[in-house]
Order: sequence, then C-alpha cells, then structure tokens
Amino acid sequence: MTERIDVLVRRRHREELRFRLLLFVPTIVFLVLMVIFPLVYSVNISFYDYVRGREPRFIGFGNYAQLFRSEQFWLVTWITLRITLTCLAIEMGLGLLLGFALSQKIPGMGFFRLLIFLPMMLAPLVAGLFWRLLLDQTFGLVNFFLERLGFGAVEWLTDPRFAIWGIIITDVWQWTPFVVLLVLAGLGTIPQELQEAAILDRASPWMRFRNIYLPYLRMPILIAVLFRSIDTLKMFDVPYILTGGGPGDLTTTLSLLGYRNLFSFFKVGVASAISWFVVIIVNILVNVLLKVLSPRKKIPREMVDTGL
Amino acid sequence: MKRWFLVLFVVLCMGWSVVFAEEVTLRILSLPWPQTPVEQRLANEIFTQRTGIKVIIESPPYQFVEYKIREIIDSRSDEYDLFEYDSQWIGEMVLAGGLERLDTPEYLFSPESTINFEKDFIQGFATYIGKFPTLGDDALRPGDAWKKYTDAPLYGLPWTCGGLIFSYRKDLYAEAGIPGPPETWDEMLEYAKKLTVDVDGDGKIDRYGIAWYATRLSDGITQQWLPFHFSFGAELWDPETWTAQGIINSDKAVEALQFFVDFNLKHKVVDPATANWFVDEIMNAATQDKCAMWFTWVSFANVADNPALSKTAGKWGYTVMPGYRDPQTGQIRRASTFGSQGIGINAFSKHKKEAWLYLQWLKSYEIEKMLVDDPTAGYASARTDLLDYQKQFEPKWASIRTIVEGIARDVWTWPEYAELLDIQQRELNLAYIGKKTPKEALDNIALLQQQVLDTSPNNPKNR
Repeated sequence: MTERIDVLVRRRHREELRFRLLLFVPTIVFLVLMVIFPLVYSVNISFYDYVRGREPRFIGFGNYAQLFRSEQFWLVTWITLRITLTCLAIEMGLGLLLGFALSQKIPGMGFFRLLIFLPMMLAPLVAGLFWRLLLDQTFGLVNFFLERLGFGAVEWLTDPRFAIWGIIITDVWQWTPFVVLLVLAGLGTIPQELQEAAILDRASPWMRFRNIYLPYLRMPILIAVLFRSIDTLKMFDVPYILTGGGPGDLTTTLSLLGYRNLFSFFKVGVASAISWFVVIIVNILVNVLLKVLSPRKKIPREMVDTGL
Repeated sequence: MKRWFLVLFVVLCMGWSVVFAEEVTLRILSLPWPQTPVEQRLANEIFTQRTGIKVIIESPPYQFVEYKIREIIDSRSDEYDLFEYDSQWIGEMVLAGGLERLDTPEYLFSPESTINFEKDFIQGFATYIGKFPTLGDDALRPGDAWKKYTDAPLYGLPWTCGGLIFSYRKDLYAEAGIPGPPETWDEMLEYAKKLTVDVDGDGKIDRYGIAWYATRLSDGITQQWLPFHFSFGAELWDPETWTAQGIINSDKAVEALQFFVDFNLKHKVVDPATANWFVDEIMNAATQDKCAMWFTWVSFANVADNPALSKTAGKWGYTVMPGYRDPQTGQIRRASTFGSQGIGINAFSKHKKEAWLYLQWLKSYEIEKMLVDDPTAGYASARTDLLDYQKQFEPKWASIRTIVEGIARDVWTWPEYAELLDIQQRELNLAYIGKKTPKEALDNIALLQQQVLDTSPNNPKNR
C-alpha cells in the first residue's frame, strides 16, 4: 500500500515537473531564438569577412586585428570612454544634490519633481534634436543667454574642444533625473526616527550624510551607476543626431562606428566585431564599478529590506 | 442530376475565383521627397481608376531607404515592386541582382511599350541614371560620351532630374548695387563680403553673405564642396584605373578646398556654425533672413519661397552655379552636384507586368506635366518634350540647366561609394573647421580611399 502511494506521489511529482517545464518552454524558445541565437551568430559573423552581397570568408580574428590596428577605432574608443566617465561623474554628483534638494518637504516640491523627470520621458533622438537647436551657434538659445550674460558665443557643435560637451550636456540633461529618481527612492527608505535621533544627538550634516544617508543610498547609487554606464557606453542616438559624429570623428562613439559599418558600408563582420568589443568593454567597466562601489561590509538586514 | 451538380460546381468555382481573386497592389519603396505624396495622389486618382491596380508608396527617412532596398534584394523579397533609388546606389543594386533589365522585349522593346528611351529623355542623363556600369559620370558631360553606352544594360528610368543650384536675394543685391548673380567664384566671394552685415549694429553679424551646410553627417559637406572641386579642374578618381591617389589630392584640388574653407576661416562670410549644419539649419537660415545667398535644391527653394513658411518668400532669384575662371583661357568652368534619382523594377517582384505599366504611366507626358505643374512637388522632368515648357519655372529651369548644359557631376556608383564618402566627409569637415590643412585632409582622403579601391573585388585588377 505504502509503495503504491510512493509510486503515485512520484508520478505526481514527475507530472508537476513536466508541467513546470512546459510553462518554461515559451520563454526558453523565445530566449534562444531572439537572444542566444543572434548573440552566438554575431560572434560567428565577427570572424568572417562578410560584406553584404559578397560571399562570407572566414578570417579568424581578422576583423578584430583590423580594428585594433586602426587609429580611428582607438580614437573612437577613447571618446566613448571619455563621454561615459564624464557623464557618470556629473550625473551622479548632480543627481545626489538634486535628490537631496527635492526630498525636502516644501510646498510645491511635487511640481518641481514632475518637471525634473520630464527629460527622461523623451526619446533620446528627440532630446538630440532639441539640443541641436538649443546649442546651435547662431539660432540657439544657449548662446543667446550666454551673450546676454556678457559671455561670447560658443561653437558648441563645431569646435573640437566643445563638441564633446554638447553630447555630455544632452546626456546629463536627459538622464540625471534617473539618478534623482533612485536617490529619492533611497532617501524615502531611511527611517524617520533614525534621522531624528541623529539630529537630537547633534550629528553634523556631514556625519549624517556619511553614516546614515550614504549607507542607505549605496544600493540606489550602484544601480544608477550600472544602468548609466551601460547605457552611455552604448550611446548612439545623441551623437548621431547632434553632430553626426563630427567634427571629423571627434564625437563618434563605438555604437555610431558600428552603425556606419553595418548600415552604410554593409560590413556585417566588422560591425559585429565592434559590437562584441562594446560588450567586452561594458562587462569590464561594470565589473570594476561593482568592485569599487559594492558595500565591503555586509549590509544590515533592515537596509536590505528596503525593496531596492 | 450529375450534370447539374457539375454545372453548379463550375459556377461556384468561378464565383469563388471572382470574389477572392487577388487584387493587384503595387508597393513602391520611395525617397521622402516632396514629389512622393503628389505621385501617390496622382496614382490614386488616375492610375488606380484606369487600371484597377492599387498603388502604395512608402517613403521612410532617407538614411533608411538604401538599407531597406538592400534587405529586400538580399532576401530576394517581393515586398516591393518598384524602387525609387538614389544615383549612387545603382551599382550595389545591379550587382546584387535586384533590378530588372528594362532593355528587353518584355519591357522597352515590346510593341506595346509607350516609352521611347532614346527619344523621350535627356540622353546623357537618362543613360547615367539608368545604365550600369558606366565609366564614372562621363555620360553626364557635354558631348556624345553617353553614346558609347547605347548597348549597355538598362535598369532604371529617371525619377527626378536636376542638380544643386545657386540662389540669391534679389532685393539685397539691388540694395547693394550688385547687378546680377555672380559668374565666377571670385565674384561670389566679393558679393558675400558686401552682404555679410551687422543689421542692428550690436557688433554681431546678423546676416551672412552666403550659407551652405558642411556637416560631417551623411554626404552634407561633400554636396557643397563638389562644385568647387570639379570647377577648379580637379577629379575624384580615375574610374578606368580605380586610382584616387594623386587625383583627389591634386594641386587643383588643394586650391579648390582652400578656396572653399577660406569662406569660413579667412573671409568669415559664412556662419561658422555651418560646420554642423544640414538641411534643417540651412532652411532656417534661408527662411529666417540669415543669409543672402545659398546653394539649394529645387525642393528646398519651394520652401524658401513659400510665404507661409518663409520671411524671405518671393525675394529669391535662381541660376546655375558660378564657376572658376581659367587664368589661361579666361573661360568659366562651372560644376554642380548631381541630385537626381532613378526608378526601377524589383527583379523579385511578382507583379513585373503591372510595375512596367505603372512606369510607363508615371513617365508619360501627361503625368510628368502634372508633376511639373504642382508647385508642392518641387519636380523637374527629364522628358525632352517638357524642357521648353519648364523654362518658365525659375528654380526648376536652373536645376535642369545643370543637366542640359552638362554642369552636374556625381560621386561613385560602385558599392564602395559609402566608405569612400565617409572618409571624405570626415576629412573635409576637419579641414572646414581648420583642424587640418586642405592638403593634409586631401592627402589623407587619397591614402584611405586608395586602400578601399585597391581591396575592392569590383576593382578591374581584382575581378
């Protein structure tokens, strides 16, 4: 009798397992077809001299070697890293400041919060077009105000010294609100009594920041850094629309270079190699940032349970 | 009884086939030019009414059309029946087997054909836009060079016709006492200096003498620089030997580029922001009274002369580009940038017969004239029997003159053109802002372009 029950239970378990697997199948099929296959396929293509319309030819690491020998490629890599690191630094600093400012309980703050989140809701292409007009040396509002304030007009999009700043300004304008959002969410999880106790104990603002706010904000900041660095390293839309990668190649990012190779030159192999280089760079940078920013000590349970 | 069933069955089958017969719909992949919506309207109102064939014209943004065409051809898809293509794409389309040959008994040589290719169109122009391969753009030059392509395969017919033209403010010319449009580049520079003004006296230039776009994006700066390059006597390459080295960076080329960038760097008669300007910005400058002269296309001219959109409407005059006066002969050599497109049948289309019917209808005198007459289309026709008629439309005629007089010049039509163009764009843009000297920029262009040409499988040496 017991054996019979065991058999039934095992059969039931097997059926449940089969049913669970069945539920997984659509997701697995989707992932294999839409993510894993293209990824593996693009790795494979990156080893071919493959120009659309011509017979692909296996060349091993030839595409990578060609890229690594190219001055243009290293210039573009350096520009991408420069934009990424500068944007990250500014967005984090500004995001923290604005986050603290907007967390104050002042009447009307809700309106300002809404206003500050608006840029994030725009498509990057629209933001690029918007800033292309704002930064235009002749018609642009930015130079109009600079001149009214007694400064000279700046060649934002054409001077090699400033063109990269046009890209950075646009990205900072659009994505600082994302950091603000995470900072506000982090600040909202700090227990009120903890803050009040610190004030009663006459802790200085710096001590409060260092010992109360920062530990609670570490996770939101980490998430912001990860998302922003991944996004900025892949940046395409803004330089494409704002400067077309110019002057020369001085605002060309790796994604824009990949785009040109694929959509203009039809060099599928080279474009795949560039894309994989971006994936590798993103992984390295993200791991370094995780290492640097991850909490060294174990986070107290009450801080982990914040939902972030 | 059986017989009745059989009759009923046959009747039902016939009814079924009538009700569910596939209605032919021609799908056209087009360029987003102002004439496209007009063509769609005419197709709906006339072609569909006459033939029962529906027409859907799709025109994605310019930068996606070429890629889309390549996708369709490479996948041997019949998604579109006709392609409206830019001149430099013909090589890649033909080499990928994507365009139907039209000089065959099924099409041009069929007894029912209403198109007489030799007679209906400006010959050199139609040859260049529809035949491949040609030796560079020699078919466009004045004379009989096009005749050597009489037996070359034909893949397309002219869709538009024209080149870059010169536009100037007639009112400002009159105020400044300038008698008429410049004949030479030197005159243009002299006028530009006169017309670069600080209108309100705040120490800032309010209106520049001349405007153009010199962006690195797409083919921006190349479009505006080509007239200088060719008119000074320089060339892009030797299409017979596939050589760029020593040609694109010849002394004449350096002289031309120096002259071009000096407008910005030395004479300052052009807005320095032009280094990042493209279509939107140049339209803004022309319509908002920010320039006295500009290089334009017919469709742009229509916007500048539209009172609803432009402060300067009705004040523009149009003519062909000024030229380079040869110091030895004293003769003026003009050049303009070719700006025309063709139309061809997708070799994988399932409706080739209907597509040919549409082509014949679209290129007929009646429809071409309707397109010419519609001011919103900004359309100039390559039909020989409409040439005289178009003389009354000022910008249109200036644009056609660039073709008729053999002034218009084009870039490469082989698949490598995009890579060659990208190199050129980057280096010219750097020279324009003074980051490189014209010689450095052109030498680098020559070096890099030669590498592309040398490694191309289409190079006669590698074929």
